[in-house]
Amino acid sequence: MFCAQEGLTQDARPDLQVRASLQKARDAGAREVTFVGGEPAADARLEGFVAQAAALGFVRVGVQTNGRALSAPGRVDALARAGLTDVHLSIHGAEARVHDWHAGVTGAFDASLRTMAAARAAALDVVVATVLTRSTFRVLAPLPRLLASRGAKAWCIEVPRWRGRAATAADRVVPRLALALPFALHAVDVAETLGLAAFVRGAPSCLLGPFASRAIDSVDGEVRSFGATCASCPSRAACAGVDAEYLARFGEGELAPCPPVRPSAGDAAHAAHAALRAMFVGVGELAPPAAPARMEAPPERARVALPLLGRPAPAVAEVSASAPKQSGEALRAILPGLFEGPGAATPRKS
Amino acid sequence: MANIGYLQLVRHCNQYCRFCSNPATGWTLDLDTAKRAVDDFAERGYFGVILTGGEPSLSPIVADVTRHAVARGLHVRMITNGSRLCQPGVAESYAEAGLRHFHVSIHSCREELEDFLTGVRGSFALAMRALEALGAVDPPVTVNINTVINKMNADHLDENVRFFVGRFPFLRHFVWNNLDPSMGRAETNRDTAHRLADFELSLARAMRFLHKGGRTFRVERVPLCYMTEFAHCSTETRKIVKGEERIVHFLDEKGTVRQTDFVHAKSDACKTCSLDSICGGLFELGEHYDLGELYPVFVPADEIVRRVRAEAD
Repeated sequence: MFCAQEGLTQDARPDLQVRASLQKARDAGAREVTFVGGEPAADARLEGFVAQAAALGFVRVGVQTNGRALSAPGRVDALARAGLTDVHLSIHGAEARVHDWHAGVTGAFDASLRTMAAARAAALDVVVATVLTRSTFRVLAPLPRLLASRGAKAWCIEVPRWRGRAATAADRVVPRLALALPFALHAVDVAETLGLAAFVRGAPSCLLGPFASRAIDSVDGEVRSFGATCASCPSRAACAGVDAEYLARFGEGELAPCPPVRPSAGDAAHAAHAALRAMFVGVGELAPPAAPARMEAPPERARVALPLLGRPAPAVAEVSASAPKQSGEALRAILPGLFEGPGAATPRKS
Repeated sequence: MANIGYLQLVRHCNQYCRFCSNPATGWTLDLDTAKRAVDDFAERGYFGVILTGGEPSLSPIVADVTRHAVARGLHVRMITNGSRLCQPGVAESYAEAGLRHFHVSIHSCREELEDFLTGVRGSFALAMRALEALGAVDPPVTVNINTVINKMNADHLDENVRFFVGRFPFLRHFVWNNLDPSMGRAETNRDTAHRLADFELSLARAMRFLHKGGRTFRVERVPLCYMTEFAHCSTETRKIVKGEERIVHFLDEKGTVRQTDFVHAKSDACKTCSLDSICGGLFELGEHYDLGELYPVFVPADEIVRRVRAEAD
C-alpha cells in the first residue's frame, strides 16, 4: 500500500557493481552493511553477496526483507552459513488481516513469522520495521508483545514517505501525524516495558513528547521540510521534520517549537540502544517526488477572501421565503399518509 | 431503542445558510396535520419528536404541537438557529409547553464566519443571546449545539467546542452533521464542500476535549475510519447497532420518509475493514466525496457495539 519505491527501475544491479560497492564501503571503513531492495531476498545472488561481505570483513551483514522469499525451507540457514548476521523484517500488524492488507498478499504475515522463527533458530538478530499508516496506527499496541515473544531485538515505527505508491494513495495511507503518533508512542511505551528497544523514524520531534530521544532523524538522506514556526525550535537540528508534500497538504498547524532533544543522563536505554538504532538504515533509494498536485486552498485562505455576507446561490428547487404558503388540506399532496386516518401513515422507506 | 420522528413545521427561515439542506419550499404545517403526525409517532411507540424546519420557531404552532406531543407521552426537541429564542419570554413559553430540549445550530465561534455562513449579519450575536436566554430558563432546559461540518469550519471544530464550553458551561452535548453536498444550497454553493481529511484532526481534537470534560457528542455522516477512538458516537453506527429507525415528514416533494437503512456508499477498501458491519459509510461517497479517502481499520467491532449498547442516547 505504501511502497515508496514504486516506479523505480526493477533491473537488478550487475554483480560487478554490487561487489564494487561492497569493496568501496569496506575500504571507506564501513563495518556494517545491509542489503536493501525492492526485495533483495528475491534475488538468487543474495547468498553470494552475503558471503563476499563476510569475506571482506563486515562484522554485521543484514538483509532488509518482507520475509516471504526467506520463508522457503532452508533459505535462512543458507544465508546464515554464508555470513548473514541479522534480518530486518517488515511487519505491519499483530494480526494477519492487518499485515496482509498492507502487503497486498494473503499469507504474507504467516510467511514473515516463519522467516522470523527461522532467523532466530539460526541465531540471527531480528529487527522489525512497521509503517505507520491510517490503517495501522490504531492497532500498533499489540505488536510489541508479538515481536518480543518471537525474539525481536528492536522495533522501528516508520512514518510513510510521500513517494511512490504512498503518494499515489496518500489520502488512504498517510495519516495525520498529530492523530497517529500518540498511538505510536503508546506502542513504544509498551515495547520498552517489555524490554524491546523501540524507535520512530520520520516524525518531527515536537510530536514525540517524552519519546523524542527515540527518534531516528535520518530519513534516507532526503531533505526534509519544516514550518516557519520550526525556525526558532531548539530541537530543529535533530528533528526529522516532515515531507514537503505533507506540509503542502496539511499545513504546519501540527508543528510547534519544543525543548531540545537530549537524552537524560539516566536514559540508559538510549545509550544501550545505539547499536540497534544504527541497524535501521532506511529503505534506500526512493521514487522521485510526484509532480505537485493541485491543492484546494486551505480554509484559512478561503476566509481571507470572504465577501461580506454575500448571499449564496439558492438551491435548485428553492422558492422565496416570502412566497405564499400552502398548508392544511393542500398538504395532502405531499403527506398523504397523514390524511388517511389515525395510524394510517404509510411512509415510504428511504 | 429510542426512535425519534422529525417534523418540519415550516420551510422558510430568517437565515440563509450556504449549505442549508432544507431551504424554502412554500409549504407550512398546520396544527391538525401536525397532530396527526404526532399521533402516528406515538402509535408507533416512538420515544420523541424533533421539531425542525426551515426555522421552526417561525411557526405559530410550536407550543400547541408540543403540548399535544407531551400529552401523547413523547419527548419533544427543537432544532433552531436561536434567533427568536433570544426574544424575552419565547424560550420560557416553549419550556412551559413542555419543549425542554433545544439544539441550537451554530457553525463557527468566529463571528464574521458565522455571519457569512448564515448569510445574516448579526446572526452570531443572536445565537449567543439565545444561548444566554436558554441558560437562564428556570427550571433548566437541555441545550445542545448542532454544527454542520463544511469547508470553512473544518479546521476549527475544536476551537468551536472550547469556546462554547468556556462561555456556556451548561452545554453538555454537541452534534456534528457532515455536510450533505447534494442537497439544498450546498449543491449550488460548492465553496462549502470539503474533503474528509480537512476536518479529521480538528474533529478528533474536539471529540477528545469533550470526552475529557465528561461531555457527550454525536457525529452524523462521518465514516468510522474518521472517528478515531469514538466510533461509538457515530449516529449511523448507533442506529445500526440498536436497530433504530426514523421518520421524517418533509415539507417538500420527498414527503414522508421512513429511514430504516443507515448504510450509505462504501469503497472497496471497506470490505477489509473490521468495522464494515457497523459503519454507515458515507452519504454521497463517490459522487461528491472521494472514494480514495476511505480506508480500512482493524480494531475490534465488539467493543464498539458494547459501548453503544451501554450508553444512553
